[in-house]
Amino acid sequence: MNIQPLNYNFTRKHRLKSDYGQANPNYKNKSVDLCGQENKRGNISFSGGQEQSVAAANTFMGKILKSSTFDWLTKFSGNHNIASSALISLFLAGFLRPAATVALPGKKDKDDKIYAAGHSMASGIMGFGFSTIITSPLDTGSHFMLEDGKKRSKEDFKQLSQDEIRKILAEEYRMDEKDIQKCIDENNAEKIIARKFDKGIKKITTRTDRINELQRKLKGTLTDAERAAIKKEILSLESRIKAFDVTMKNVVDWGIAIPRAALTIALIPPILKYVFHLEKGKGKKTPVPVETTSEVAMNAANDTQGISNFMKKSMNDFAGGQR
Amino acid sequence: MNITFNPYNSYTTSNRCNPRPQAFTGKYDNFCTWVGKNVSRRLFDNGFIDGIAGKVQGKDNAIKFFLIGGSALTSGVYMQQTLINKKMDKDRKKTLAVNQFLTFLLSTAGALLLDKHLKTWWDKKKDQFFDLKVPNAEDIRNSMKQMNEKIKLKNEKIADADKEPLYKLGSYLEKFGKKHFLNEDDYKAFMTKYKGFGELRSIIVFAMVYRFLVPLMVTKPANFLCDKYLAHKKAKDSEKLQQAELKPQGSNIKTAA
Repeated sequence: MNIQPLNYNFTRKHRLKSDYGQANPNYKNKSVDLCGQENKRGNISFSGGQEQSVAAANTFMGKILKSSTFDWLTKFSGNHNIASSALISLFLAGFLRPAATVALPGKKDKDDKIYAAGHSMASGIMGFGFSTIITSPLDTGSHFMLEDGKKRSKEDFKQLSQDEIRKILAEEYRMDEKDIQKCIDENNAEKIIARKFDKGIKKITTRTDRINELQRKLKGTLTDAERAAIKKEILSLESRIKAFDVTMKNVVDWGIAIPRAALTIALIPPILKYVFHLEKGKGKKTPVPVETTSEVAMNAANDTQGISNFMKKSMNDFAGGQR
Repeated sequence: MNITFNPYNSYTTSNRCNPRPQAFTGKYDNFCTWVGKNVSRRLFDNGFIDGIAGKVQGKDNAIKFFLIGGSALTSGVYMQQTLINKKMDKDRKKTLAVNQFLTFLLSTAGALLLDKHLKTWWDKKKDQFFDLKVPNAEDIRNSMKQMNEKIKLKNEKIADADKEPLYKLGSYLEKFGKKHFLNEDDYKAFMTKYKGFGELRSIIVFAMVYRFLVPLMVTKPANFLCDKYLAHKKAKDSEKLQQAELKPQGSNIKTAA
Protein backbone atom coordinates (compact mmCIF):
# COMPACT_ATOMS: atom_id res chain seq x y z
CA MET A 1 0.00 0.00 0.00
CA ASN A 2 1.42 3.37 -0.99
CA ILE A 3 0.67 6.42 1.07
CA GLN A 4 1.58 9.63 -0.63
CA PRO A 5 1.29 13.14 0.69
CA LEU A 6 -0.14 15.59 -1.82
CA ASN A 7 2.52 18.11 -2.91
CA TYR A 8 3.61 18.44 0.63
CA ASN A 9 6.89 17.72 2.29
CA PHE A 10 5.60 16.65 5.64
CA THR A 11 8.96 15.47 6.91
CA ARG A 12 9.87 19.06 7.60
CA LYS A 13 6.58 20.46 8.80
CA HIS A 14 4.14 17.85 9.99
CA ARG A 15 6.01 14.91 11.26
CA LEU A 16 4.29 12.03 12.93
CA LYS A 17 5.12 11.94 16.59
CA SER A 18 6.67 8.50 16.20
CA ASP A 19 8.92 9.70 13.35
CA TYR A 20 9.83 12.79 15.26
CA GLY A 21 10.69 10.82 18.39
CA GLN A 22 12.88 8.39 16.46
CA ALA A 23 14.71 11.20 14.75
CA ASN A 24 15.21 13.18 17.94
CA PRO A 25 15.25 10.91 20.98
CA ASN A 26 16.04 13.93 23.16
CA TYR A 27 12.63 15.39 22.54
CA LYS A 28 10.67 12.19 22.72
CA ASN A 29 8.80 12.86 25.91
CA LYS A 30 9.41 16.54 26.33
CA SER A 31 6.47 18.86 26.28
CA VAL A 32 6.62 22.46 25.24
CA ASP A 33 5.22 24.98 27.66
CA LEU A 34 2.08 26.74 26.57
CA CYS A 35 1.63 30.22 27.95
CA GLY A 36 4.47 29.66 30.37
CA GLN A 37 2.85 26.63 31.99
CA GLU A 38 4.45 23.24 31.76
CA ASN A 39 1.38 21.70 30.25
CA LYS A 40 1.81 18.38 28.59
CA ARG A 41 0.75 18.75 25.03
CA GLY A 42 0.85 16.32 22.21
CA ASN A 43 2.72 16.79 19.02
CA ILE A 44 1.00 17.87 15.84
CA SER A 45 -1.03 15.05 14.45
CA PHE A 46 -0.81 14.09 10.82
CA SER A 47 -4.05 15.81 9.93
CA GLY A 48 -2.53 19.08 11.05
CA GLY A 49 -4.56 19.47 14.24
CA GLN A 50 -3.11 20.41 17.59
CA GLU A 51 -4.88 18.34 20.17
CA GLN A 52 -3.72 20.10 23.28
CA SER A 53 -4.00 23.64 22.03
CA VAL A 54 -7.70 22.98 21.48
CA ALA A 55 -8.10 23.33 25.25
CA ALA A 56 -6.32 26.68 25.15
CA ALA A 57 -8.40 27.73 22.18
CA ASN A 58 -11.64 27.04 24.02
CA THR A 59 -11.00 29.58 26.76
CA PHE A 60 -12.53 33.04 26.37
CA MET A 61 -9.19 34.58 25.46
CA GLY A 62 -8.45 31.69 23.12
CA LYS A 63 -11.72 32.29 21.30
CA ILE A 64 -10.85 35.95 20.88
CA LEU A 65 -7.36 35.13 19.64
CA LYS A 66 -8.76 32.66 17.14
CA SER A 67 -11.56 34.89 15.89
CA SER A 68 -11.33 36.21 12.36
CA THR A 69 -12.00 39.79 13.57
CA PHE A 70 -8.96 39.69 15.82
CA ASP A 71 -6.96 38.10 13.03
CA TRP A 72 -7.91 40.99 10.77
CA LEU A 73 -7.11 43.50 13.50
CA THR A 74 -3.59 42.14 14.04
CA LYS A 75 -2.99 42.23 10.29
CA PHE A 76 -4.33 45.78 10.04
CA SER A 77 -2.25 46.95 12.98
CA GLY A 78 0.86 45.29 11.55
CA ASN A 79 0.38 46.99 8.20
CA HIS A 80 -1.05 50.36 9.21
CA ASN A 81 -0.02 51.50 12.69
CA ILE A 82 -1.62 54.93 12.67
CA ALA A 83 -4.83 53.86 10.97
CA SER A 84 -5.33 51.01 13.43
CA SER A 85 -4.71 53.36 16.33
CA ALA A 86 -7.31 55.68 14.77
CA LEU A 87 -9.71 52.74 14.32
CA ILE A 88 -9.54 51.84 17.99
CA SER A 89 -9.92 55.53 18.84
CA LEU A 90 -12.97 55.61 16.55
CA PHE A 91 -14.55 52.80 18.53
CA LEU A 92 -13.63 54.32 21.89
CA ALA A 93 -14.10 58.03 21.19
CA GLY A 94 -16.77 57.79 18.51
CA PHE A 95 -19.04 55.26 20.17
CA LEU A 96 -18.15 54.16 23.69
CA ARG A 97 -17.20 57.54 25.13
CA PRO A 98 -20.23 59.51 23.87
CA ALA A 99 -22.48 56.76 25.23
CA ALA A 100 -20.71 56.80 28.58
CA THR A 101 -20.62 60.60 28.72
CA VAL A 102 -24.34 60.97 28.05
CA ALA A 103 -25.09 58.16 30.52
CA LEU A 104 -23.20 59.91 33.33
CA PRO A 105 -25.52 60.98 36.17
CA GLY A 106 -26.57 64.61 36.47
CA LYS A 107 -29.33 66.40 34.58
CA LYS A 108 -28.09 69.96 34.98
CA ASP A 109 -25.19 69.77 32.57
CA LYS A 110 -27.01 67.87 29.84
CA ASP A 111 -26.01 70.27 27.10
CA ASP A 112 -22.38 70.26 28.18
CA LYS A 113 -22.38 66.51 28.15
CA ILE A 114 -23.89 66.45 24.68
CA TYR A 115 -21.29 68.96 23.54
CA ALA A 116 -18.51 66.76 25.03
CA ALA A 117 -20.01 63.72 23.30
CA GLY A 118 -20.15 65.65 20.02
CA HIS A 119 -16.53 66.65 20.37
CA SER A 120 -15.60 63.07 21.11
CA MET A 121 -17.46 61.76 18.05
CA ALA A 122 -15.95 64.46 15.87
CA SER A 123 -12.43 63.61 16.99
CA GLY A 124 -13.06 59.88 16.50
CA ILE A 125 -14.50 60.23 13.01
CA MET A 126 -12.06 62.90 11.88
CA GLY A 127 -9.10 61.02 13.32
CA PHE A 128 -10.02 57.80 11.57
CA GLY A 129 -10.99 59.31 8.23
CA PHE A 130 -8.09 61.71 7.97
CA SER A 131 -5.48 59.26 9.25
CA THR A 132 -6.63 56.38 7.07
CA ILE A 133 -6.90 58.39 3.87
CA ILE A 134 -3.47 59.97 4.28
CA THR A 135 -1.44 57.22 5.87
CA SER A 136 -2.70 54.06 4.12
CA PRO A 137 -1.14 54.66 0.68
CA LEU A 138 1.95 56.12 2.34
CA ASP A 139 2.30 53.03 4.56
CA THR A 140 1.95 50.68 1.61
CA GLY A 141 4.35 52.76 -0.48
CA SER A 142 6.94 52.95 2.30
CA HIS A 143 6.61 49.24 2.98
CA PHE A 144 7.15 48.54 -0.70
CA MET A 145 10.31 50.68 -0.70
CA LEU A 146 11.49 49.00 2.50
CA GLU A 147 11.03 45.50 1.11
CA ASP A 148 12.78 46.52 -2.10
CA GLY A 149 15.60 48.17 -0.16
CA LYS A 150 16.18 45.03 1.89
CA LYS A 151 16.98 43.06 -1.28
CA ARG A 152 20.45 42.69 -2.80
CA SER A 153 21.80 45.42 -5.05
CA LYS A 154 22.15 44.64 -8.75
CA GLU A 155 25.95 44.66 -8.41
CA ASP A 156 25.76 42.13 -5.59
CA PHE A 157 23.52 39.96 -7.74
CA LYS A 158 26.05 39.91 -10.56
CA GLN A 159 28.65 38.48 -8.20
CA LEU A 160 26.44 35.52 -7.24
CA SER A 161 27.15 32.14 -8.77
CA GLN A 162 24.40 29.89 -10.19
CA ASP A 163 24.54 27.65 -7.11
CA GLU A 164 24.29 30.58 -4.75
CA ILE A 165 21.23 31.86 -6.63
CA ARG A 166 19.60 28.45 -6.29
CA LYS A 167 20.41 28.37 -2.60
CA ILE A 168 18.99 31.86 -2.03
CA LEU A 169 15.78 31.04 -3.91
CA ALA A 170 15.34 27.86 -1.92
CA GLU A 171 16.20 29.22 1.53
CA GLU A 172 15.13 32.83 1.46
CA TYR A 173 12.22 32.61 -0.97
CA ARG A 174 11.10 29.07 -0.06
CA MET A 175 10.86 27.87 -3.65
CA ASP A 176 10.57 24.28 -4.87
CA GLU A 177 13.14 22.85 -7.24
CA LYS A 178 10.63 23.10 -10.07
CA ASP A 179 10.03 26.78 -9.42
CA ILE A 180 13.74 27.50 -9.10
CA GLN A 181 14.44 25.80 -12.42
CA LYS A 182 11.59 27.70 -14.05
CA CYS A 183 12.85 30.93 -12.54
CA ILE A 184 16.37 30.40 -13.84
CA ASP A 185 15.15 29.27 -17.27
CA GLU A 186 13.05 32.38 -17.66
CA ASN A 187 15.83 34.66 -16.32
CA ASN A 188 13.54 35.87 -13.55
CA ALA A 189 16.02 35.36 -10.72
CA GLU A 190 17.32 38.91 -10.90
CA LYS A 191 13.80 40.32 -10.67
CA ILE A 192 13.20 38.32 -7.51
CA ILE A 193 16.53 38.62 -5.75
CA ALA A 194 17.83 42.04 -6.80
CA ARG A 195 16.32 45.47 -6.14
CA LYS A 196 13.88 47.04 -8.55
CA PHE A 197 14.96 50.59 -7.78
CA ASP A 198 18.59 51.48 -7.41
CA LYS A 199 17.51 54.90 -6.23
CA GLY A 200 15.66 53.53 -3.25
CA ILE A 201 15.69 54.85 0.30
CA LYS A 202 19.44 55.19 0.81
CA LYS A 203 19.29 54.91 4.60
CA ILE A 204 18.01 51.36 4.05
CA THR A 205 19.92 50.32 0.95
CA THR A 206 23.37 51.32 2.26
CA ARG A 207 22.76 49.39 5.48
CA THR A 208 21.51 46.34 3.57
CA ASP A 209 24.60 46.42 1.37
CA ARG A 210 26.76 46.59 4.48
CA ILE A 211 24.90 43.59 5.97
CA ASN A 212 25.49 41.60 2.77
CA GLU A 213 29.14 42.54 2.80
CA LEU A 214 29.48 41.42 6.42
CA GLN A 215 27.71 38.18 5.69
CA ARG A 216 30.18 37.47 2.89
CA LYS A 217 32.96 38.12 5.42
CA LEU A 218 31.38 35.61 7.81
CA LYS A 219 31.90 32.86 5.26
CA GLY A 220 35.69 33.32 5.41
CA THR A 221 37.99 32.07 8.14
CA LEU A 222 37.62 34.13 11.29
CA THR A 223 38.27 33.81 14.99
CA ASP A 224 35.28 33.36 17.30
CA ALA A 225 35.61 36.89 18.67
CA GLU A 226 35.72 38.43 15.17
CA ARG A 227 32.73 36.38 14.14
CA ALA A 228 30.82 37.51 17.22
CA ALA A 229 31.70 41.16 16.54
CA ILE A 230 30.50 40.91 12.95
CA LYS A 231 27.28 39.23 14.04
CA LYS A 232 26.76 42.00 16.56
CA GLU A 233 27.18 44.65 13.87
CA ILE A 234 24.72 42.83 11.63
CA LEU A 235 22.18 42.68 14.45
CA SER A 236 22.60 46.39 15.12
CA LEU A 237 22.15 47.24 11.43
CA GLU A 238 19.07 45.05 11.20
CA SER A 239 17.55 46.62 14.28
CA ARG A 240 18.24 50.09 12.83
CA ILE A 241 16.41 49.15 9.62
CA LYS A 242 13.51 47.89 11.74
CA ALA A 243 13.47 51.14 13.73
CA PHE A 244 13.55 53.11 10.49
CA ASP A 245 10.50 51.18 9.28
CA VAL A 246 8.58 51.95 12.48
CA THR A 247 9.62 55.61 12.24
CA MET A 248 8.53 55.87 8.61
CA LYS A 249 5.14 54.43 9.45
CA ASN A 250 4.49 56.49 12.55
CA VAL A 251 6.19 59.84 12.11
CA VAL A 252 3.41 60.84 9.70
CA ASP A 253 1.14 61.08 12.72
CA TRP A 254 3.09 64.11 13.90
CA GLY A 255 2.65 65.79 10.54
CA ILE A 256 -1.10 65.30 10.43
CA ALA A 257 -1.78 65.99 14.14
CA ILE A 258 -2.22 69.77 13.73
CA PRO A 259 -4.53 69.86 10.68
CA ARG A 260 -6.46 66.96 12.22
CA ALA A 261 -7.02 68.86 15.46
CA ALA A 262 -8.14 71.94 13.49
CA LEU A 263 -10.54 69.88 11.34
CA THR A 264 -11.89 68.14 14.45
CA ILE A 265 -12.90 71.49 15.91
CA ALA A 266 -14.53 72.36 12.58
CA LEU A 267 -16.49 69.11 12.58
CA ILE A 268 -18.10 69.62 16.01
CA PRO A 269 -21.00 71.89 14.90
CA PRO A 270 -22.27 69.58 12.11
CA ILE A 271 -22.07 66.56 14.46
CA LEU A 272 -24.05 68.41 17.12
CA LYS A 273 -26.55 69.49 14.50
CA TYR A 274 -27.11 66.25 12.64
CA VAL A 275 -26.41 63.62 15.31
CA PHE A 276 -27.72 65.29 18.45
CA HIS A 277 -30.04 67.79 16.71
CA LEU A 278 -28.54 70.55 18.80
CA GLU A 279 -26.83 73.75 17.86
CA LYS A 280 -24.42 75.06 20.47
CA GLY A 281 -25.45 78.52 21.60
CA LYS A 282 -28.81 78.55 19.85
CA GLY A 283 -30.20 75.69 21.89
CA LYS A 284 -29.57 77.55 25.12
CA LYS A 285 -30.41 81.05 24.07
CA THR A 286 -33.71 80.56 22.26
CA PRO A 287 -35.89 79.59 25.23
CA VAL A 288 -34.86 82.69 27.19
CA PRO A 289 -36.43 85.36 25.00
CA VAL A 290 -39.46 83.16 24.42
CA GLU A 291 -40.13 82.86 28.14
CA THR A 292 -39.60 86.54 28.77
CA THR A 293 -41.86 87.58 25.93
CA SER A 294 -44.55 85.18 27.09
CA GLU A 295 -44.31 86.54 30.64
CA VAL A 296 -44.36 90.10 29.40
CA ALA A 297 -47.32 89.31 27.22
CA MET A 298 -49.10 87.66 30.13
CA ASN A 299 -48.42 90.54 32.48
CA ALA A 300 -49.32 93.17 29.98
CA ALA A 301 -52.54 91.63 28.80
CA ASN A 302 -53.62 90.41 32.29
CA ASP A 303 -55.23 87.47 30.63
CA THR A 304 -57.08 84.60 32.20
CA GLN A 305 -55.34 81.41 33.32
CA GLY A 306 -56.55 79.39 30.33
CA ILE A 307 -55.15 81.74 27.75
CA SER A 308 -51.80 82.01 29.53
CA ASN A 309 -51.58 78.22 29.68
CA PHE A 310 -52.31 78.09 25.98
CA MET A 311 -49.63 80.71 25.37
CA LYS A 312 -47.07 78.83 27.43
CA LYS A 313 -47.87 75.58 25.68
CA SER A 314 -47.69 77.02 22.21
CA MET A 315 -44.48 78.88 22.97
CA ASN A 316 -42.87 75.78 24.40
CA ASP A 317 -43.88 73.81 21.34
CA PHE A 318 -42.40 76.50 19.21
CA ALA A 319 -39.12 76.40 21.17
CA GLY A 320 -39.00 72.63 20.92
CA GLY A 321 -39.52 72.80 17.20
CA GLN A 322 -36.62 75.13 16.80
CA ARG A 323 -34.24 72.70 18.53
CA MET B 1 -3.94 0.52 -3.41
CA ASN B 2 -2.95 4.14 -3.45
CA ILE B 3 -4.10 6.44 -0.68
CA THR B 4 -3.44 10.12 -1.12
CA PHE B 5 -3.44 12.26 1.97
CA ASN B 6 -4.36 15.86 1.61
CA PRO B 7 -2.59 17.82 4.29
CA TYR B 8 -4.32 21.01 3.14
CA ASN B 9 -7.40 20.23 5.15
CA SER B 10 -9.56 22.96 6.60
CA TYR B 11 -7.52 23.19 9.79
CA THR B 12 -4.18 23.59 8.08
CA THR B 13 -5.34 26.08 5.52
CA SER B 14 -7.26 28.18 8.00
CA ASN B 15 -4.38 28.34 10.44
CA ARG B 16 -1.52 28.66 8.07
CA CYS B 17 -1.48 32.22 6.92
CA ASN B 18 -3.45 33.17 3.92
CA PRO B 19 -1.16 32.75 0.94
CA ARG B 20 -3.31 34.87 -1.33
CA PRO B 21 -2.05 38.38 -1.98
CA GLN B 22 -3.99 41.31 -0.59
CA ALA B 23 -7.05 42.15 -2.59
CA PHE B 24 -5.84 45.46 -3.87
CA THR B 25 -6.80 46.55 -7.29
CA GLY B 26 -3.96 47.04 -9.71
CA LYS B 27 -4.56 50.78 -9.88
CA TYR B 28 -4.28 51.21 -6.12
CA ASP B 29 -1.12 49.12 -6.12
CA ASN B 30 0.41 51.25 -8.82
CA PHE B 31 -0.60 54.39 -6.95
CA CYS B 32 1.06 53.07 -3.76
CA THR B 33 4.23 52.22 -5.68
CA TRP B 34 4.23 55.74 -7.08
CA VAL B 35 3.73 57.16 -3.57
CA GLY B 36 6.62 55.03 -2.29
CA LYS B 37 8.94 56.07 -5.09
CA ASN B 38 8.10 59.75 -5.06
CA VAL B 39 6.67 60.69 -1.68
CA SER B 40 8.16 58.25 0.86
CA ARG B 41 11.65 58.57 -0.57
CA ARG B 42 11.56 62.37 -0.42
CA LEU B 43 9.90 62.53 2.99
CA PHE B 44 11.84 59.92 4.87
CA ASP B 45 15.27 59.48 3.31
CA ASN B 46 16.95 62.11 5.48
CA GLY B 47 18.98 62.54 8.64
CA PHE B 48 16.04 63.75 10.73
CA ILE B 49 14.03 60.54 10.31
CA ASP B 50 17.19 58.46 10.66
CA GLY B 51 18.02 60.31 13.88
CA ILE B 52 14.59 59.51 15.31
CA ALA B 53 15.05 55.88 14.21
CA GLY B 54 18.38 55.85 16.07
CA LYS B 55 16.68 57.06 19.24
CA VAL B 56 13.87 54.49 19.18
CA GLN B 57 16.13 51.65 17.99
CA GLY B 58 15.90 48.58 20.18
CA LYS B 59 13.09 50.01 22.33
CA ASP B 60 10.16 47.81 23.22
CA ASN B 61 7.20 48.86 21.05
CA ALA B 62 8.74 52.06 19.66
CA ILE B 63 5.27 52.95 18.38
CA LYS B 64 4.34 54.37 21.79
CA PHE B 65 6.83 57.22 21.47
CA PHE B 66 5.11 58.31 18.28
CA LEU B 67 1.71 58.07 19.94
CA ILE B 68 2.98 60.26 22.77
CA GLY B 69 4.47 62.73 20.27
CA GLY B 70 1.20 62.92 18.32
CA SER B 71 -0.77 63.47 21.51
CA ALA B 72 1.70 66.14 22.66
CA LEU B 73 1.18 68.00 19.38
CA THR B 74 -2.61 67.74 19.59
CA SER B 75 -2.56 68.93 23.22
CA GLY B 76 -0.24 71.72 22.14
CA VAL B 77 -2.72 72.87 19.50
CA TYR B 78 -5.57 72.89 22.01
CA MET B 79 -3.40 74.75 24.51
CA GLN B 80 -2.45 77.34 21.93
CA GLN B 81 -6.11 77.70 20.94
CA THR B 82 -6.95 78.31 24.59
CA LEU B 83 -4.20 80.90 25.01
CA ILE B 84 -5.23 82.91 21.94
CA ASN B 85 -8.93 82.74 22.79
CA LYS B 86 -10.15 86.34 23.10
CA LYS B 87 -13.34 85.49 24.95
CA MET B 88 -11.59 84.24 28.10
CA ASP B 89 -9.99 86.11 30.99
CA LYS B 90 -6.20 86.23 30.95
CA ASP B 91 -5.74 84.41 34.24
CA ARG B 92 -8.24 81.72 33.39
CA LYS B 93 -6.58 81.13 30.03
CA LYS B 94 -3.29 80.37 31.71
CA THR B 95 -4.89 78.16 34.34
CA LEU B 96 -6.75 76.20 31.66
CA ALA B 97 -3.61 75.80 29.54
CA VAL B 98 -1.62 74.57 32.53
CA ASN B 99 -4.48 72.20 33.30
CA GLN B 100 -4.40 70.81 29.77
CA PHE B 101 -0.65 70.34 30.01
CA LEU B 102 -0.90 68.55 33.37
CA THR B 103 -3.69 66.32 32.04
CA PHE B 104 -1.44 65.37 29.13
CA LEU B 105 1.50 64.62 31.44
CA LEU B 106 -0.58 62.56 33.86
CA SER B 107 -2.32 60.57 31.16
CA THR B 108 0.99 59.87 29.41
CA ALA B 109 2.53 58.65 32.66
CA GLY B 110 -0.55 56.52 33.35
CA ALA B 111 -0.51 55.04 29.86
CA LEU B 112 3.21 54.21 30.06
CA LEU B 113 2.71 52.56 33.44
CA LEU B 114 -0.25 50.50 32.22
CA ASP B 115 1.64 49.55 29.07
CA LYS B 116 4.62 48.37 31.12
CA HIS B 117 2.48 46.33 33.49
CA LEU B 118 0.51 44.71 30.69
CA LYS B 119 3.66 43.61 28.87
CA THR B 120 4.19 40.26 30.63
CA TRP B 121 0.56 39.23 30.25
CA TRP B 122 0.41 40.40 26.66
CA ASP B 123 3.59 38.50 25.77
CA LYS B 124 2.04 35.33 27.14
CA LYS B 125 -1.00 35.94 24.96
CA LYS B 126 1.33 36.55 22.03
CA ASP B 127 2.84 33.11 22.60
CA GLN B 128 -0.65 31.64 22.76
CA PHE B 129 -1.51 33.42 19.53
CA PHE B 130 1.59 31.92 17.94
CA ASP B 131 0.61 28.43 19.13
CA LEU B 132 -2.92 28.79 17.81
CA LYS B 133 -1.96 30.17 14.43
CA VAL B 134 1.08 28.10 13.51
CA PRO B 135 0.58 24.34 13.26
CA ASN B 136 4.29 23.55 13.59
CA ALA B 137 4.80 25.84 16.58
CA GLU B 138 6.47 23.10 18.57
CA ASP B 139 9.03 22.41 15.85
CA ILE B 140 9.92 26.08 15.73
CA ARG B 141 10.35 26.30 19.49
CA ASN B 142 12.55 23.20 19.50
CA SER B 143 14.86 24.45 16.78
CA MET B 144 15.09 27.78 18.58
CA LYS B 145 16.13 25.96 21.75
CA GLN B 146 18.74 23.98 19.84
CA MET B 147 20.13 27.15 18.32
CA ASN B 148 20.26 28.89 21.70
CA GLU B 149 22.12 25.94 23.21
CA LYS B 150 24.72 26.20 20.44
CA ILE B 151 25.10 29.92 21.06
CA LYS B 152 25.46 29.33 24.81
CA LEU B 153 28.29 26.87 24.16
CA LYS B 154 30.03 29.39 21.89
CA ASN B 155 29.49 32.25 24.33
CA GLU B 156 31.33 30.38 27.08
CA LYS B 157 34.60 30.83 25.19
CA ILE B 158 34.14 34.50 24.36
CA ALA B 159 34.57 37.65 26.44
CA ASP B 160 31.37 39.20 27.84
CA ALA B 161 31.36 42.18 25.48
CA ASP B 162 31.37 40.04 22.32
CA LYS B 163 28.75 37.55 23.47
CA GLU B 164 26.01 36.82 21.00
CA PRO B 165 22.52 37.44 22.38
CA LEU B 166 20.21 34.45 22.70
CA TYR B 167 17.19 34.28 20.46
CA LYS B 168 13.72 34.93 21.72
CA LEU B 169 10.72 33.71 19.77
CA GLY B 170 10.23 37.04 17.99
CA SER B 171 13.84 37.52 16.97
CA TYR B 172 14.17 33.87 15.99
CA LEU B 173 11.09 34.06 13.77
CA GLU B 174 12.42 37.18 12.13
CA LYS B 175 15.74 35.63 11.30
CA PHE B 176 15.03 31.98 10.69
CA GLY B 177 11.23 31.75 10.64
CA LYS B 178 11.11 31.48 6.87
CA LYS B 179 12.44 27.95 6.76
CA HIS B 180 9.58 26.71 8.92
CA PHE B 181 6.84 28.03 6.68
CA LEU B 182 5.48 26.58 3.47
CA ASN B 183 6.26 29.63 1.37
CA GLU B 184 7.31 33.23 1.62
CA ASP B 185 3.77 34.63 1.46
CA ASP B 186 2.70 32.49 4.41
CA TYR B 187 5.67 33.66 6.38
CA LYS B 188 5.21 37.34 5.59
CA ALA B 189 1.49 37.26 6.33
CA PHE B 190 2.07 35.59 9.67
CA MET B 191 4.89 37.91 10.63
CA THR B 192 2.72 40.96 9.89
CA LYS B 193 0.09 39.59 12.27
CA TYR B 194 2.67 38.64 14.88
CA LYS B 195 4.23 42.09 14.77
CA GLY B 196 0.79 43.71 14.74
CA PHE B 197 -0.18 41.73 17.83
CA GLY B 198 2.76 43.17 19.76
CA GLU B 199 2.04 46.70 18.61
CA LEU B 200 -1.65 46.34 19.39
CA ARG B 201 -0.82 46.42 23.11
CA SER B 202 0.52 49.96 23.04
CA ILE B 203 -2.10 51.05 20.51
CA ILE B 204 -4.98 49.83 22.67
CA VAL B 205 -3.49 51.09 25.96
CA PHE B 206 -2.74 54.57 24.65
CA ALA B 207 -6.06 54.91 22.82
CA MET B 208 -7.86 53.71 25.94
CA VAL B 209 -6.11 56.21 28.22
CA TYR B 210 -5.94 59.22 25.90
CA ARG B 211 -9.28 58.83 24.18
CA PHE B 212 -11.51 57.16 26.75
CA LEU B 213 -10.45 56.95 30.39
CA VAL B 214 -8.97 60.39 30.95
CA PRO B 215 -11.59 62.39 28.99
CA LEU B 216 -14.35 60.49 30.75
CA MET B 217 -12.80 61.01 34.17
CA VAL B 218 -12.31 64.68 33.40
CA THR B 219 -15.86 65.33 32.07
CA LYS B 220 -17.59 65.50 35.45
CA PRO B 221 -15.07 67.72 37.31
CA ALA B 222 -14.71 69.87 34.17
CA ASN B 223 -18.47 70.40 34.00
CA PHE B 224 -18.53 71.16 37.72
CA LEU B 225 -15.73 73.71 37.41
CA CYS B 226 -17.30 75.17 34.27
CA ASP B 227 -20.62 75.58 36.09
CA LYS B 228 -18.86 77.26 39.01
CA TYR B 229 -17.09 79.59 36.62
CA LEU B 230 -20.30 80.38 34.75
CA ALA B 231 -22.14 80.99 38.03
CA HIS B 232 -19.32 83.23 39.19
CA LYS B 233 -19.34 85.09 35.89
CA LYS B 234 -23.11 85.43 36.00
CA ALA B 235 -22.95 86.79 39.55
CA LYS B 236 -20.29 89.27 38.47
CA ASP B 237 -22.30 90.30 35.43
CA SER B 238 -25.46 90.75 37.46
CA GLU B 239 -23.52 92.76 40.02
CA LYS B 240 -22.29 95.01 37.26
CA LEU B 241 -25.78 95.23 35.82
CA GLN B 242 -27.23 96.06 39.20
CA GLN B 243 -24.63 98.74 39.73
CA ALA B 244 -25.33 100.13 36.29
CA GLU B 245 -29.06 100.06 37.01
CA LEU B 246 -28.64 101.54 40.47
CA LYS B 247 -26.76 104.58 39.28
CA PRO B 248 -29.49 106.11 37.09
CA GLN B 249 -32.12 105.10 39.68
CA GLY B 250 -30.12 106.88 42.35
CA SER B 251 -29.92 110.00 40.23
CA ASN B 252 -33.65 109.80 39.63
CA ILE B 253 -34.26 109.56 43.34
CA LYS B 254 -31.98 112.45 43.92
CA THR B 255 -33.76 114.62 41.39
CA ALA B 256 -37.08 113.54 42.78
CA ALA B 257 -35.96 114.53 46.23
